[in-house]
Amino acid sequence: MSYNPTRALELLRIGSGRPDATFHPGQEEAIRELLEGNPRQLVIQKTGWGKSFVYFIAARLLREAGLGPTIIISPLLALMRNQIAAAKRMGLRAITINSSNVEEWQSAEQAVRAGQADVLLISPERLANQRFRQEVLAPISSRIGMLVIDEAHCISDWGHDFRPHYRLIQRVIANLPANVRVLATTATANNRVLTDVSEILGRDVAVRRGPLHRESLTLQSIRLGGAAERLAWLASTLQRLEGSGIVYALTKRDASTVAAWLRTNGLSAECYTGATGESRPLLEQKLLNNEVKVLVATSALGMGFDKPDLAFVIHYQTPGSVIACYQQVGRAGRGIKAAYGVLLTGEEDTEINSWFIDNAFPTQEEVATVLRLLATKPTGASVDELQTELNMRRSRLVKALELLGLEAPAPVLKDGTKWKRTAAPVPASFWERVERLTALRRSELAQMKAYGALSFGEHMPFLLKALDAIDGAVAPPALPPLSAAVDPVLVRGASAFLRRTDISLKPRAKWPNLGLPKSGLRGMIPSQLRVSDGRALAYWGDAGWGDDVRIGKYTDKRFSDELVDALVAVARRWQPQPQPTWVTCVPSHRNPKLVYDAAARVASRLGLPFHPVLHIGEERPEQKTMSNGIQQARNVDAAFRIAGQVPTGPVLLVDDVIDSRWTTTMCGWLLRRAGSGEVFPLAFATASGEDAGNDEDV
Amino acid sequence: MAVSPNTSATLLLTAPLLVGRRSPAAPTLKPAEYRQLAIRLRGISASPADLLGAGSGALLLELAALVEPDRMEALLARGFQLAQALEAWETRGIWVLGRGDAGYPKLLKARLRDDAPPLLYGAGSLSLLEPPALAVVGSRNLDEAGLRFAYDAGALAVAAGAVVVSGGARGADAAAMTGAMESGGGAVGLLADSLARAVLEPVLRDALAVSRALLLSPYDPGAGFLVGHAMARNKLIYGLAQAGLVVSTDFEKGGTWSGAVEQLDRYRFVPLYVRRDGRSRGAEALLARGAKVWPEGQSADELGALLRRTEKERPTVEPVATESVDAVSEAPRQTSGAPSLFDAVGAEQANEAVAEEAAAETASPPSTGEVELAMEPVVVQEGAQKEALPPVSAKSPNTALRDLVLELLADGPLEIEALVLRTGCKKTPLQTLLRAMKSDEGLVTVSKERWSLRRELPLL
Repeated sequence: MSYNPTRALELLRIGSGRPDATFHPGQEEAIRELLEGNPRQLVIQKTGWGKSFVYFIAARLLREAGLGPTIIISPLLALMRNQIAAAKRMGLRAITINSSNVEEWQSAEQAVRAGQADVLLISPERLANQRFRQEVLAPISSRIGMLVIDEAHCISDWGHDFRPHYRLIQRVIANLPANVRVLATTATANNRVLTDVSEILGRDVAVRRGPLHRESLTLQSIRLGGAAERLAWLASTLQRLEGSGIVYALTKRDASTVAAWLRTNGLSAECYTGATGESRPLLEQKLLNNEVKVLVATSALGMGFDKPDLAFVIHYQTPGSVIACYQQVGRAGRGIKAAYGVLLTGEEDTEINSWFIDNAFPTQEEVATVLRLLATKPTGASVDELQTELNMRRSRLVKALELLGLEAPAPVLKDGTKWKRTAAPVPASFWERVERLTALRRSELAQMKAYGALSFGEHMPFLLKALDAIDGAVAPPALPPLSAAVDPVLVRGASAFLRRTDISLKPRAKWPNLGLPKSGLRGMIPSQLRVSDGRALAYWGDAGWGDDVRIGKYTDKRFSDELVDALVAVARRWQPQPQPTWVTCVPSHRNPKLVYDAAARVASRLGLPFHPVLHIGEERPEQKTMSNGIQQARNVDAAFRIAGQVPTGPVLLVDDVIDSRWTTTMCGWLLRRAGSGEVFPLAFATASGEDAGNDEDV
Repeated sequence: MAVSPNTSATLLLTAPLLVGRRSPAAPTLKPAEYRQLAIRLRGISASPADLLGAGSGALLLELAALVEPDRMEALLARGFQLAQALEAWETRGIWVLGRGDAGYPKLLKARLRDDAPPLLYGAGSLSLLEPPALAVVGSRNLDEAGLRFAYDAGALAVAAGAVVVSGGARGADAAAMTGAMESGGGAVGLLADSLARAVLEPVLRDALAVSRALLLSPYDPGAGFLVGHAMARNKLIYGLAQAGLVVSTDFEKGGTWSGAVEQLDRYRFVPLYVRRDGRSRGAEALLARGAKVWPEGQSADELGALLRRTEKERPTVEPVATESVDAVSEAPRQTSGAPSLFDAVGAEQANEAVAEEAAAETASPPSTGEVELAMEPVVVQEGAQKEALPPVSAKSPNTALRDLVLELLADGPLEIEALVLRTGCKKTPLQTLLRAMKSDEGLVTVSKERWSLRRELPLL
């Protein structure tokens, strides 16, 4: 088909809303080539360059020529709202289906099936989903005009951020006949990734690579050992910095702590993570409108978020790779003259990053165990069914199954709701890839450490070299370095703050999948037999009280008065309603005194009676040796009994460390069935090792 | 393992590419149409893969007399669907071979030539095609003695250094294949349906894992069971073997019967043996038509010698093995009609035939039916095949017309008028054929004057 430059420019102007807009160098060439020349294009341009205009204008022109809809695969569609609005202005019927709009799926899928989509934006996970492929994509798959792969570096095994589902996309692309239009886009691809991606796209692919340097960015790294020092530095520095920006943390927990600390220091700060859910668009909008000073985010606030006047990006901890670092700081200063990109490095960075690296893949033993079990199931098995026979965390089990299922041929595959063992062995290349990616991540981490040790002015050249950028010489930073000094008073304040992060514990509303056979319980827990909201003093092993709890439990075998006081303070701040009238505790066979003694002291400080009515029914292994929720739930199944008179009033249920919440759920159920009032769990720490996405702690 | 560009194009043009229950029905080319297309492409020194390249527009116009360019474009636009299907198959360990691909079974090409399926889907080890093979066929419902016989035959084949080729159905097929696999040997299953499901079936899965099984099917891995498909694959089962063994058969009906008769009367790829128990009318009838009695108490050595003897005789058909109509995808393209594409004896006649055929097509754009019906005389003109393919006997129906009817009905029920239009055959003989297919073979049914294929539950 032939390219119409007048119409293309018209679309650009309509889409951008600027009547004088003209194409950036490279944009128009890519569109023209896609339409009438080489159907395989790889565009490597920094974020904000306008890659989305290339694919939306091409999609629109294809539609106007009577060709089929365009499919865009992108991992972070939630953040493409601006771009989608531009597409709509161009008259494209754009339909998005991703994890952030589940409630719209049904109507969106209906529209796709009815052929009402000009552009379909889906996540890689959707493309890999069997039902989605068969029910939604199948009806339109016979006439797709163009396929767009965003974040195309992910299809390389050498790509820095490994996303398992891109393995499948890699194969889909490799299997596309030569006549299918494919536009692959990425902001960052070093030479090795570029070669790899080009090979997958086909030897004739046209590569368009732009410069990566951002003149407006002033980069800096500051070493501040402890969490308290970094919090103090943030509080004082953010007061002085103009404009609004982003602080990146490595885990959800850190993001939430930092945001809370900044708020107590009078800054308008919000926490934005994968767990933020529905309020994410609202928070993005607040930042766009400068209604909030700072979003404290995990990498969930990622590619595609475009705020031209973002004034700073600060890393509270070291990101895992140079590319992640570049992409995150690269969000600042796109449309303004000057902006800061600051890396704070601390003591725990390496530990957290190493944990991410070490837990990224299943172990050989885990894989062997899963495969062995699955081979004995002629009709396959669901994850729940596997969990009842495997002492493995659910998230790790799911990860192992998914990774194996993305191999080709796959050793396991999902057939409806059941996983089945196939004839295929685990290929040697699977473990080679695991080793290669693990080694790659370690070297990337080492590179980031080197970045953290650079002197002022060296950072941008370092990043560009690491990314094999085509840029020439780089001008020195436009802004002066920020002071590394911290106010000792603020440090003490931050230290105290870290010691009083009361943690809310949500009650369980339902028994585990497949039920508890011994007690004969399954399905929903009747609301009058559930526990109420609970509280914990600290996260297990965290900065603040976490270490004290560990020492009390394992070294001293007694929780210190200081800890008991702190727990009582939690209860006083909390003020559960209706007010508890008595105290009880979770019994322990192995360490019968520890919690009993602490609960008695809590009761006396609160001036409430202590009634230890819960007893061990039969001895069970420690909960922490159970690796997944179903195993933990079954381990407490009929493990406790009630002895003596249970008072009718609301009660505080004291425990040392709450992990899966099954112990408190079961104890609470017994208490309430025996006639007690509301049950409020209160614990020294929560390990929160429950399955709910703890691995993907972002 | 991406497919070759030619196989990719063949898939786009001919395969349903089932990626889900809602996969849109495409106006795929029928085998006869594809055959004409391949011939024409070769005539103009082009290959199917060229339809995916930059100059495809001009090529489509050149082919317009054979297939409407719009229809071709709609088929070729299914690239994303193809990629999804290939990906899903790869995940299950399923691959696809085109006739031009190196791994495509040579024996099938040699024996079936133009009738060899343009595509074979498969899973497992192709090395199982190397040893001599015993084809074992029989009923799905078989008594204990019959099952034991089939199982033992499978085991004996393995002891003779051979593999078993069968249809992967329950009953005789499953028993023979199991007998072979459990004796530490290999089995080749030529499935009529549900390949995607079969690879997960525990017995086959475990055999595939240790290279004891090879599954092949000319039909989409997601396709369900159709009686016509089951019938049409009989010739492929025999086509891969050096001898055939009928464990049991009905008389003058059913797939085993028609496959055996077709083998005895038309194809004659292999000597056909029958298990004789003195009671089976079907077995006696096959013996009367030229089948041999399976020797009781035959030793492994004797069977081995028999299979190798047939294998040695193979060179009489072997030279025809080189690709006749399809482009050989990976080999450098020869000038049109170069001898290497044909055997020395048949080359000239074959080229003439092709030329004639091409000329005929240009003169009058054919309907599907005319093309298919034109096949028989053309095939007969080819010297090498003359003796192998005797004229269709009065007893066995016009197989080409029958196959075409099956193909047409595979897309959905049709009234007799539509069949007349699309086969180019007169109404009365067509009706006779349909009635025979209904009552004798149980292949089709008629309801409210619309003929359709009889569907059964998948076997595995």
